[in-house]
Amino acid sequence: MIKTPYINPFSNDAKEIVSKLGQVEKLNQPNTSLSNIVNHTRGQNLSDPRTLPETIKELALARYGWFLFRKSSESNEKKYEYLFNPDIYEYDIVAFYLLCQAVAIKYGPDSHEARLILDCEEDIISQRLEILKSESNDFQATFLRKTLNQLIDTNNLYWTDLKEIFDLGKLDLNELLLSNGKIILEYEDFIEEYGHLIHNRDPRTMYEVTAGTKIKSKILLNLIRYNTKKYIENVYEMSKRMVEPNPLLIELAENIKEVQQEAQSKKYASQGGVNYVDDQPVNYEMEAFPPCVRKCMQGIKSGGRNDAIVLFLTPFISYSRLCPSIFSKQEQNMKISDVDPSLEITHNEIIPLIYEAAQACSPPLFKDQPQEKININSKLGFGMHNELKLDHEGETQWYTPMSCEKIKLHMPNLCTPNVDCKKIGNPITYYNRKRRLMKKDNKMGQVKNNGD
Amino acid sequence: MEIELKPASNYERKLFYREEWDVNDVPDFVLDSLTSREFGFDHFGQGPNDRYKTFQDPLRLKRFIKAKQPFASYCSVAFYNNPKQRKGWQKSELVFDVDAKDVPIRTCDCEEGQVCDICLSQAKEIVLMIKDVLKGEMGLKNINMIYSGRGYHVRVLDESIMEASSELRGQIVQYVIGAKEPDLTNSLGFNNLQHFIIPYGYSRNFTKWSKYTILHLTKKSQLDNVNKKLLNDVLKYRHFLEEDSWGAFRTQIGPRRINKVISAVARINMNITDTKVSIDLKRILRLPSTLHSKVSMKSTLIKNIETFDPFDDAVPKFVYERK
Repeated sequence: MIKTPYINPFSNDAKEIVSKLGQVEKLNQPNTSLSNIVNHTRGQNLSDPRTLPETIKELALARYGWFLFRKSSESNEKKYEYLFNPDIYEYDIVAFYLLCQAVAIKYGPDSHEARLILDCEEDIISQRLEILKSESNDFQATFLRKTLNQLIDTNNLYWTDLKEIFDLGKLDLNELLLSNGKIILEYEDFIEEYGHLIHNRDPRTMYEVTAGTKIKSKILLNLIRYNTKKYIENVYEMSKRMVEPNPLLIELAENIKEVQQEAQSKKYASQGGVNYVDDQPVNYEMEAFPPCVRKCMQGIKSGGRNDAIVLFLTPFISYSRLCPSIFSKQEQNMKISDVDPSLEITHNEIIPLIYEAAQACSPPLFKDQPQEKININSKLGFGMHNELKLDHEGETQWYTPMSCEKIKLHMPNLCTPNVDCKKIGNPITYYNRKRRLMKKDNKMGQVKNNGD
Repeated sequence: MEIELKPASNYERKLFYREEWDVNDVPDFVLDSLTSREFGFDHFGQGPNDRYKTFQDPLRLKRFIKAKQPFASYCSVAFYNNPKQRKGWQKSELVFDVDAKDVPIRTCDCEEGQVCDICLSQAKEIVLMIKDVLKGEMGLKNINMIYSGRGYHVRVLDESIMEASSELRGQIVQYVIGAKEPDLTNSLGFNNLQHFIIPYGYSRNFTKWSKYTILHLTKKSQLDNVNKKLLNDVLKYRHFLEEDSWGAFRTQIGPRRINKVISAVARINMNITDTKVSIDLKRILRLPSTLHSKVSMKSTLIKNIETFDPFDDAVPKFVYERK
């Protein structure tokens, strides 16, 4: 039977387990009970005993490895089947806390590693929630109600209570049923609120279709992610006051880095020469530009010129030439000089293209607002200066391309999506995808854009 | 008397501030937080370039405005620890800006940039719909409506949302004005679910706004991905929506083409308010009670939106004295 700590590491039961099993000296010792669960998991690949965790520390590392390798050619779910055996819940909880602590102490809450831990936890729990779907509807409903109520009161939840959850960007306000500020989550509340509006349809089905299990699972996942984030932040704050962290945590943190590097090299090795891994300058393929970029380059007629040129076009034009793969890179705090050390491309190609679009605006952008030139420099990472000089680089950040969601909010007129836009969430992803397709079709330079 | 929305002369502006404007007409929600707000002024009609102003008390604000008689006056939606430097951001009002000249579904014959009583009353209808969602579904209570001179501002001061991030505000706006197609995918496998059969939640809100938008389309309307023939068909069959017969409307338009219409309508809805204003945490907005010199109207806090008529309630005295 699935126990709640298998899904929610922040319940009181979970905390009790940690105090029972979490003594540091035991975490690196072989644990027979854990090995038994691993070895007796149905469908588990037992061919390589070296990959099977014998200690809780190894289990923590395995959790992370599962997440990093699952999207690479190394992915072998059968190797990690034990992670989805509900019996493992007690050891899994301790492994989870161990991972969070190691990352918090060594890398801090704002690190790339901390983000990966959040993604890892979300992926594991989300997969476990999928397993839950094989249970009866009643069991699912009761289980979710119980697990969720360990974190919030589902009968008295207001959308304003979830502000931090919305900020994670994975839950939309319009997915929720709202009435007078309250989120309608439970079936009883649903019937009380909307029962009189439902005619000729099964109310239970209407509930499941518009709220039900789906939205509860989503809120649960997001609350776990948020609590994990908070926990890492707390540990980090506490660690600053600690004299010396436990060597086991430091060792685990180093192992984490090794697994990460291994996953990274396998990812790139598997991509070979077919895919684009453009973390260095590549020539423009303007045929692959998305409709919004094309529209912007033709000039903005009235209103919103500044945002379109400075906030939208400048990052797109610079990254598409210098580092189109920015979002698949581990390191995202890049500088232009990392890829264009002499700024030759920036001066000779990027700036002219942006200025050309600014000139095409009506009225031309710099005619009445010459200060926008400084703003463009600042969005390229060169501070608020008239000239692009290496000395100033780093005073501001090199802005990454705006997502489609943001474009719709800031510049709705720019967004006239074509069929390809449905598949992506950021114009630079559109660009990369389109170039890849063009190369695959061997039609570089002669592809017609659908729907333009 | 027909009110002409023409610019105020320098003399009229001075007359207004000398004889008519009263600092007590500035709403309490501004005066109560005066020392936390940044003020900005436009003295010559070229935009608010005198910013970072602060006032310790209403008397000083009164003296400044009486002495300078500004072309336009603004105050921040944000509260700061140090408003003089715009530092120490604490919170911001949640704002919806409905400018009559920018309403995307105007049915009047106004020229671009102009407003008339028809588009102003359309802006009022929109504001009422916004208020309904904010109050009914969102459960917000401290909602203030202001006539801005050429449109309306909705300013929400509920503590529970004033610390909301820009991203969350973006989501709130999309919800409130029905700017996003509802995601109707579901685990039960109903793949032909329509927003209009769900009489609650965001789907209901989206349906309401879509109905409003479709009923206000004209032959001149331009919709992304919707050709002339489809637009004509929408106009031909939209009478079904007046009785909420979405099913019949959908049948007439066709299941594929209606998707195009709905996507285009969602994008039109996005332009119903100026979303940039709502997501900007440091925006300055026209100060209620002051003069909108470009149209000679008073920016006015609305006491009763049902009975409010800008041509009765927001006209400065000097306009009646014009020959």
